[in-house]
Amino acid sequence: MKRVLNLYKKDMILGVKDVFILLEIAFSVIMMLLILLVVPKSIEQEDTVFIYDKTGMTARLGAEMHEGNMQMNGQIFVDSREAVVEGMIENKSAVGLIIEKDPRGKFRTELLTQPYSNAAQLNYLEVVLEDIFSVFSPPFGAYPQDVYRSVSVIALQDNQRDSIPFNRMLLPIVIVTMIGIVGLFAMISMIAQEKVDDTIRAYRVAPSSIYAFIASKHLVMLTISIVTFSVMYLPIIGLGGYLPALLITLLTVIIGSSLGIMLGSFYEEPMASFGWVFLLMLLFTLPAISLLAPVFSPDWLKIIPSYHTLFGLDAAMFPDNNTHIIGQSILLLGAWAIPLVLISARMFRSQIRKGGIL
Amino acid sequence: MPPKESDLIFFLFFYFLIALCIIDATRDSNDEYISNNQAPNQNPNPKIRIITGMCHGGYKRMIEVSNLFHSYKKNEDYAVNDISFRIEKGEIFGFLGPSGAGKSTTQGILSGLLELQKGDILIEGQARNAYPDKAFFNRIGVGFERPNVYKKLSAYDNLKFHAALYDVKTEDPKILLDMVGLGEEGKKLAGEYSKGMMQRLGFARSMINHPDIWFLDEPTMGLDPSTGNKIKRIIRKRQSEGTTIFLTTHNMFVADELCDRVAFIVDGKIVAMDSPKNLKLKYGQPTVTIEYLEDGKLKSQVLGMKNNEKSVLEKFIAEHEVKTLHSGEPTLEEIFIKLTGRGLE
Repeated sequence: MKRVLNLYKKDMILGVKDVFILLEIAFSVIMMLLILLVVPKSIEQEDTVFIYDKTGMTARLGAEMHEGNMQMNGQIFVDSREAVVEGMIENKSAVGLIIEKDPRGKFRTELLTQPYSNAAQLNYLEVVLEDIFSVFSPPFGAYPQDVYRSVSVIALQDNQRDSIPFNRMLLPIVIVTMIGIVGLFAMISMIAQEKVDDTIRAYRVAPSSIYAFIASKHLVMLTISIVTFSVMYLPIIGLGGYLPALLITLLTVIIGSSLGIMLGSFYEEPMASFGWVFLLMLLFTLPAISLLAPVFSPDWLKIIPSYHTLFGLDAAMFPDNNTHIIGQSILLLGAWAIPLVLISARMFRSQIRKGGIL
Repeated sequence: MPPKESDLIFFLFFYFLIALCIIDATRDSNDEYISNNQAPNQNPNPKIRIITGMCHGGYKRMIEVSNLFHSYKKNEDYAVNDISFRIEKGEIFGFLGPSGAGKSTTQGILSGLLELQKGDILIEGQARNAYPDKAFFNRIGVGFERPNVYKKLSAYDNLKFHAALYDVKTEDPKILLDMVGLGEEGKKLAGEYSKGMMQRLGFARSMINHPDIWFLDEPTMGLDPSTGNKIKRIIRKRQSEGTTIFLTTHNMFVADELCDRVAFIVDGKIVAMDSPKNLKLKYGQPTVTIEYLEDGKLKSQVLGMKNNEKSVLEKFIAEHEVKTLHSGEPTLEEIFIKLTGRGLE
C-alpha cells in the first residue's frame, strides 16, 4: 500500500504538471456551464398551424372553447390559401390547414406540410382529422359519448419524463463521454508517457510490482473522475442520487481505464491506438440512442457497459419508480469491471515482460 | 420485477470470466516463482534447470551464469547464444561488444527485465527464478544507457520517489546528488537538465538502495572527461566497499581502466574472457617505436618485442643512430578487432 501511495502521489503530480488533469477539470466546468446556460431546457417546438377555414366552423369552435376557458394555442386563422403558404414559409415548423365544404355539404380538408415532415406523423394527422370531421359531418359522426373510455393506459413507471428539463436529461450522456471515454484515452496517454520516457524500465528493476503500478493509475483516474463528476453533477442535479450515480460512474471509469491499459500494453504512442479509441468511443456512445429513444433497446445493446451506465445514471438522477435499475446497473458494471481489471493487469505485465520495451 | 433470461445469461458469462481470471492468476504464480529450496526434480518449469547448493573454489561467487540462451522470437534465432561466465564478489566485470552483440540482452536477463528462458543464473550460489523476486530487486541497482527519469519531477523528487519503492535502507537523495555533482541543481526539473546531467541523475538513482550487485550500461557515455572521471571514481569507491559491478560498454578505454576482467561478446557469443592485462599479453604484440637519424633526417621504425624479435631490435639499435625509444602495448580495441575481425561501433 505504501508503494501504491508513493506511485499515486507521483502520478498525480505528473498529471497536474502534464496539464491533462487540469484540462479534464476545465472541460467539465465548461460542459457544466454549457448544460446549465446554453442547452435549452426544452426542445419542444411551439406547434403552429395556419388555418384557412372557408366554412367558419373552426373559428366558431375556437370561440366556444375560449369562452369555456379552453386554450387554443398556436392556431392562426388567415383568409386565403396564399396567406397559409406565406405563413409556412416564415415559420419553418408550421403546418397549414385548409377547410372547405364540397357541393354535397361534406367537409373537405387539405393539409399543407413542410418538406421534412415525418410520414408517420402525417398519417397520424390524417387519421385524427378524419376522426374529427367524421364527428362533425354525419352520417359517420356522432360517436357515442364513452367511445374513448373503453381504452385504459397503465404505465409500468411513473411517467415524469415530460417534466425533466432537456438539458438535465443530457447529463448521463455527457458523463459517459467526458469521464468514461476520455478516461480511457487519458490512461493510454499515461502509460505511453512512461514507455516513451522509458521510466517504466527503471521502475521494473525496483522491488515494486506492475500491479501496484497499474493500481496507482486506476486511482488517479478515479480521483479525477470524482472531481469532474462532482463539478458537473452537483450544480446541475444537486445532491439527489449523488452517491449511486457516482458509484456507477466510477465503475464505468474502471472499465474504461482497464480497456486503456489493454490498449496501452500494445502501443508505444497514444495516437497509434487512436483507431481503437475511436471505435470504442462509438461503441460506448451508441446506447445513448436508446436513452433518448427508449423504443430502440435491442438485447445486443445491453452487452455494451455504457448502456447500464446511462440507464443507471438516469435512474439515479431522475427517480421515477425505477430504483431497481440502479442496483442492476451497479451489479452489471461491477461484473464487467472485475474481470477487466484482472485481465488488463495480466495483459500489461505479460506484454512488458515479453521484452518489447527493452 | 423478475430478472430476464438475457440478464441471467450476462451474469453467468461475467462470473465465468472472473473464475477464469482467478484460476489463471493462481496457475501463473505457481509457474513463475520457483522456490530456491525446491529440489530439482520438483521443478514445475522444464525450461529452466535449477541448481542449488554452495559455491565452490574457495571463494564466494556473486554471479554465475551457465549456458544462457535468449531468443526474442522464441525460436532458434538467439540474441544470446550459450554464454557462460562468473563474477566474483567485489569484482568489476566488463561486457564488451559492438551494438547488437547481446550485451544489453544479457544485462536485461541478469537484472530481471527479461525472462530467463534457458540456462542457469546463480546469485551467491542460489538459483535465480525465471523472474526474480522482490528480495533480488532490493539488492540490485541498474544504471541505464538512456537517461530514463521523470522530466516533470525535480532531480530530488525523482530520487525520493524511487527510494520509497525499496524495502531496504536507502541513501539520502541529497548526498547522492552531491556525489554526482548535481547538488546545486537538485530542485530543478529533470526535464531542464542537459543529457549528461540526466545521465548522472539516472546513475545516482541506480545507487539509491546501496546495491551489492550493480548493473551499469555505458555509465560514462556522453559525459565530459571531468565528469566521466568523477563517475569512474564513484564506481571504484563502490567496488572497494564490496559492490559487484557488471559493466556493459563498447568503450574499451573505460573497460581497460575500470574492469578486473572483461568478456568480448559478438553475435551473442563470448569470444574471449580474461583480465585486460592478460588479454593484451595473450593476444597482443608489444612493440618499440624507435626514432633514429639517417642521412641527417629523423626517421622512425616500429619493431616487435617478442623473444624471437629481440635480436632484430638489438641489431637495429647497434646499427643506427637512435634518438628515442618508446615501448608500446596494444589497446583492448586492437585485441578485440584481432579476435573478432570487427570494430566496436
